[in-house]
Amino acid sequence: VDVRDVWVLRGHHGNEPLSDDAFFFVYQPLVGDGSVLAFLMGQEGGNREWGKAGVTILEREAVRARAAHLFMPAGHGVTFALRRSETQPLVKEFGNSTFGPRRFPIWLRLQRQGEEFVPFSSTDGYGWTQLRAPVTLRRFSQDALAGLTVASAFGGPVTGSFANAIVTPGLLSPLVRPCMGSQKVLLTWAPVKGAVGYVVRRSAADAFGFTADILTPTPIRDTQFMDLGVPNDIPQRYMVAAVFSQAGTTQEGWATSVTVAPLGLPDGMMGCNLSSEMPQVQGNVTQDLASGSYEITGAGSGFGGVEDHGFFVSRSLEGDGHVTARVLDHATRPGGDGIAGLMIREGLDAGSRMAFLSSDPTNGLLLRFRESPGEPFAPGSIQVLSPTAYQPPIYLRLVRRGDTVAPYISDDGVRFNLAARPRAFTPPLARTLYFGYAIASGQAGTLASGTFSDLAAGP
Amino acid sequence: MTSCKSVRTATLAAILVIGCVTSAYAVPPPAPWVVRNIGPRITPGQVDVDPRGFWTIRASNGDVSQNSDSTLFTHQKLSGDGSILALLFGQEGGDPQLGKSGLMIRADDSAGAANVHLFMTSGRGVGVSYRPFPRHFTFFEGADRRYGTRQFPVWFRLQREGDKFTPFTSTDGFSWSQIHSPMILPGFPEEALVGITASSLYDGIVAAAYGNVTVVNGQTSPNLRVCSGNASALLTWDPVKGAAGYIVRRSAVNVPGFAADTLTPNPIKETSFADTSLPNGQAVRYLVSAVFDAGGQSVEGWTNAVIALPVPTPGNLIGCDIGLEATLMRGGILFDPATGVFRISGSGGDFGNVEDRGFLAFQTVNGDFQITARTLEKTTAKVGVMVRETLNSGSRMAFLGGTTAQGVAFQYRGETDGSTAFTGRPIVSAADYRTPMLVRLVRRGNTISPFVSLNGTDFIPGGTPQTFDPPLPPTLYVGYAISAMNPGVVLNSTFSDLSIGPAPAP
Repeated sequence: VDVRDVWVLRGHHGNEPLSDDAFFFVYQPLVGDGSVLAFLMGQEGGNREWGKAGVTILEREAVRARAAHLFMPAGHGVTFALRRSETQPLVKEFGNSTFGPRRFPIWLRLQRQGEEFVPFSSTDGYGWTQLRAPVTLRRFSQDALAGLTVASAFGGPVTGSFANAIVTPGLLSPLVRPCMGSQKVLLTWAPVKGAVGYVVRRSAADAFGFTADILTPTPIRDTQFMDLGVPNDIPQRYMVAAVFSQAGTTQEGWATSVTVAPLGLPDGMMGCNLSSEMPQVQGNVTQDLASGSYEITGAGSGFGGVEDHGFFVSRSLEGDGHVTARVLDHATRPGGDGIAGLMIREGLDAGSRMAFLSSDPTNGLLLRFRESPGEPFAPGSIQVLSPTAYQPPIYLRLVRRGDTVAPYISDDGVRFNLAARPRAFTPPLARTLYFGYAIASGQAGTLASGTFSDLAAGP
Repeated sequence: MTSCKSVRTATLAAILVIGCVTSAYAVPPPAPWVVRNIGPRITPGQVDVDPRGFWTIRASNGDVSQNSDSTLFTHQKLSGDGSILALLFGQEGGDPQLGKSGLMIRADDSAGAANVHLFMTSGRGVGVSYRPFPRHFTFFEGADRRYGTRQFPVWFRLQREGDKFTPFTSTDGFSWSQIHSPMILPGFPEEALVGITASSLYDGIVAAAYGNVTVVNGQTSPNLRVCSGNASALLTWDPVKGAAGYIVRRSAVNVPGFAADTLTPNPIKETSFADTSLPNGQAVRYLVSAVFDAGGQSVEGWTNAVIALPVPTPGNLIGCDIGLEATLMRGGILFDPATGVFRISGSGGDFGNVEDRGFLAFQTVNGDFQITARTLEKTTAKVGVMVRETLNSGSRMAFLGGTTAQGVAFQYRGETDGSTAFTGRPIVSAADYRTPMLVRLVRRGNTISPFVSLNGTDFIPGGTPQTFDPPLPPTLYVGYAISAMNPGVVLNSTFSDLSIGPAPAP
């Protein structure tokens, strides 16, 4: 460590492909929640593919300890790696387009909040891009080790150069979900543990974080922020930071950065990513003004399980209502099919109760439900149309009456036929639900696209 | 905490109060830093330091220029030699071309104080300026690619060694590229102010963010020169005050400085280093640093990084830049065996006055000699044959060559660091200057005689022979040279029929 606080780490260790870890680790204790972050100025040497340098949170000093790593390898882009248990191998997620290419310098940060670990990167050190949805390591020790890592992967000595290496307890950043409507952006986030308020900033997408305007002159207590009057289709960068009160002084935590552009949607509608695994890959909707049709794109591994991952264009409606659209084609992604269709859900969180009238070439038209929050889909999907019978274009409709949701189909958009037996939710549905159109690619970080028209949601 | 307009969109009317801060809980820089608005300003500037030590600076004021400044200057004292350095994360706003923020070493905090300034501009990349004397005009050679493009982040370092001030930049924080020859500010006070500036040039708000702001006593890096030859590179540098030795490292040009190979396992005492058996045509980077003894502990100073390009030429010519103002504007020489033509390139303001600035491809020759070359191409650059005592910019020398603007003349510097003079200027007027033209210098003892041939066969005197006193050393640097007559460009020219051999009988 030199007089500027620049660190040079040199290591000659293993790490690949053995199941035991072998790396050089400079660490300090991290008790409870917090972050380890550093400005990675460069990495050289080691294995041409997997020599690496980055930041790590380790459960204990052992060769098979559970850990989360965020690093830059010699032959790939930014990589997130996880050892979920001491009997399981390290699992890496990487790729030039996944979390960003190999380039220097770059800020890397790993955040721990309870059992959840979240990787971030930043180009300017002010706005941090969440790279991935949180991963959970159950019962991870409160007393963890956080620090800097280099590993050569048996390829000769490896060197990593860092500046501003910091381990900060607390100061967590919010996990921000943006929704975009016509000339508006809605930011929502889960409450951050210990936060006494939140600061929201905005700038042009390519501006430095330090030049952003503060939109909340005093910290707000809400966990959402609506920005109005923003021009459609022009990307804006938002930064949201939690504010903490520690030992009588107030401190601002790391800011989470999202870049989004308001969408030219019908009044009242907004597009949101539903817990995308890779928040930097945003869905989008564009309207073809000549035909009036919409092209919708969205990433995410799909809808189902305990969480939904995809893009959802919707509006909120109180009481009974419907959503209708004319599906023009099958959703596709590079090398495969996507899934898309009408959706009514209780909330915009990933595990919300919902009904989904989905279509894809393999399964045809299905009606599926999540009857309890955070639970998998209810057993027994209802096949409304077989793969051979389902041939877009076709009009679809979902109708809510009380606590019941019913699917309809139509060839002409005038006469709609009930397509399956309505499903009643218990306990009763919330008064306000979200009615809209959803799409997922089936792959995190890969966008699928589809087209539809005649989207309407109303009483 | 108050809201503020974006720096990018701020108007003069909107910035009557710069009430915005980057971090809600940032604080002013701690002592010994002092925040000072020097000269006229529109509003008081603002400097915030966040818990990580990040500096965010905003200012709405004038400029560092002419004979009086208007800048936000956050400074502390530096006594004697040393450096200020910082990692510039970004800079934006102010005048679209010349809003600026950077590092400064300043004699005092008066508006007309002598200073050296290394900065990033909003539209024209890295810039360097200096005011050698109080209330004197500020020399500003331009902020453009000659010093580096506008890219972030970038490390800046400004070094003082005695009355010499040298700017450096680095992309990796380890290999520091000297971007200007040392600027000399005679009589600069021993105790100076070093710090960070911001000037908007009367156009909105300029903002900048820095990390790792550091002031270091001593640990100066060498003033390094590199010469490239056939499969070889020669590094030379001036002795660094207080240095106990020097370390030389080498790497490919695209490898970060921290990963370079150390060529001197133990620090060397010499102030030169020759590297041989290099692959021709492949650029290589060298990092040279001084080692200091600090209370019994060895401390390595900042590096100076240069790039060499070994090339084969007839006669094994060695090519060196001499005294370049913008040291990134490197020259070079190539030889085409098919045509027998040399292509020489170089930058620099001129050969003349008290310092030469250009590029020389040379051999070292012992005793009397004759050098002849055929200039094939006349350009706005000054090109011709040159003889010099050393490779220092103020060396005694003789030069016979021409430019399209001035014709052909014989020029010499009879006294080290003295001014140059001409004899019979010009021998060939600009109007009569034709190429190809043969030019020749002959050394006999301490006398250098110039000749030109207008018909390619017969030589006539090219000026009055110059006898040097005190005597010239036995070995001189003899070759073909180019100066672009403009430190901001690299120009090319061609020549052929280079011969360097014994002097004929009188």
